[in-house]
Amino acid sequence: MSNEEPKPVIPGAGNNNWANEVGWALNRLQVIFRYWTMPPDALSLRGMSPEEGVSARALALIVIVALTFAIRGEADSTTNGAMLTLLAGGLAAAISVVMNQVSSVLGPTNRDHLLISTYASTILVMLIVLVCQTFLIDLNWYQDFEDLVGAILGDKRFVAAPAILGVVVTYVVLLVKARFWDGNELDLQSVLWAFAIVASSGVLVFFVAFVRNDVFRWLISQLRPA
Amino acid sequence: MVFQRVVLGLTALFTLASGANANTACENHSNRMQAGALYALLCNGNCLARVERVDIGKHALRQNDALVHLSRGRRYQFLYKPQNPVASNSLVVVQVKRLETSLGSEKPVPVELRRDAVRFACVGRNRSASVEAWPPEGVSGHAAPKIGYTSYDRFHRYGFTNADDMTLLRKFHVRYFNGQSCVSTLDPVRRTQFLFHDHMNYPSRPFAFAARLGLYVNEANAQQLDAIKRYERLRVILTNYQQAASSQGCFEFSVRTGPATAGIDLGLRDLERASRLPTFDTTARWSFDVK
Repeated sequence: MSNEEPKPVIPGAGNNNWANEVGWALNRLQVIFRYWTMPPDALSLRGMSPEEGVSARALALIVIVALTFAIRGEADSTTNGAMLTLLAGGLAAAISVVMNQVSSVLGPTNRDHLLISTYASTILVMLIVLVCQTFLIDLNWYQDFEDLVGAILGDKRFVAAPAILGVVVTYVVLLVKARFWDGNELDLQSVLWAFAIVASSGVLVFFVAFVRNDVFRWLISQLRPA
Repeated sequence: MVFQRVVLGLTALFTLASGANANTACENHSNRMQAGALYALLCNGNCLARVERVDIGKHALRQNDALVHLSRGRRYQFLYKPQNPVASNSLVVVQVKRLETSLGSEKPVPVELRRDAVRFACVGRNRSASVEAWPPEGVSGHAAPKIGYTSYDRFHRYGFTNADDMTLLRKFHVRYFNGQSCVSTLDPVRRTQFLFHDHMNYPSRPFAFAARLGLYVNEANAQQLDAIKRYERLRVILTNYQQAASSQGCFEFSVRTGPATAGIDLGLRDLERASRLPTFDTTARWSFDVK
């Protein structure tokens, strides 16, 4: 018999640590996907534990931060890292404030659901912007679309066109998912609310892609104590 | 009525004048030029000097049976007519690398950008749209838009760079009608022709996407990058030619030597030729000593 005290068990520690992490992330992505729907009161959060909800939102935020770096074209940046993290934090704060206002109109119980849904829409719009700028940028139909946007927005078309395309694609996929995958009944009000949420994600992504680094440097210099 | 005629007359005169200015030297001299050879115009008259090789990798101008080197503090107008062009319209990337008498720097200097006017640009369904020169004519090289070398290299190798420079580079690139279809200078094969070093080494789109997410890095040739650090001035001119035009596919560009310039290296890449031979280096190169 041994007199040694039993070692404390650390959850997730061991040979399958990596697999556990992947499993955890996939589980939270599933939660994000499930709550990316409309109308806002279609799903109750009762089926989801508070820990699941919080960690799903945290994962969504991490993805948004990473995609903010990618949208700014500085995924490997060390010089502008702090500035971009601040930008991504500002983006998340803006989403949270807007959703607080929206949930105060739709009902306070929907706040968490709305946040997860908006984060998911923002992630999709960001991904579509990146796909446009990598895979579609030299295609004639895409550049025709850019020229069309450019007739109104001038040089802002280079970031506005993929953001608009991102909003349209995300919105259509959301409609299809909510109606046919989730089997929800959609009325005019919920369809309009969903559009407002996806469009606001698009505006935020446009802002992230468009604003010059100088503006952020100036903002940071203003935040520093004199 | 008289006023209208005067306005119309002046407009026509102005249009003719601006059209004539577009490629005057080429129109005047293309008949005397041999395709595939570079020429320099040494005065406003008939002073067309052919560029010839004088040593291994070194070139000079043949003027009146004598070989002359480029001189310091002078502007040279070069003319070139492509040999067996593969398309009726094409864009040409001219890379001008200026070597000064000092020893170079730790990192490459920024790249100056200039694009000549394009008369066969694609805008919407219009295949003969006009895109003006950028920056406008008259803006000196020092005042021309500049992009940091790393940013320039990343954009043309991967297709992205930081958001600020990306907007500038998107203004520089164009879509044009090559005689068969509208193509963009942003497609990977054409885009990489703008690279100064290791231009055959670029990732496919999925890898470029992974690089944008920070998941992949494609190391370019470090030796070639070191060679670029020697230059004190790097300049890219995006010019073009039309086979059917009166200039017979000839195009021109100008290069200025500074008071301390020791050498000029020129590189030409025809985008249409390069797009049809993506695995070959189609660069035409000349290297001049400046005395």
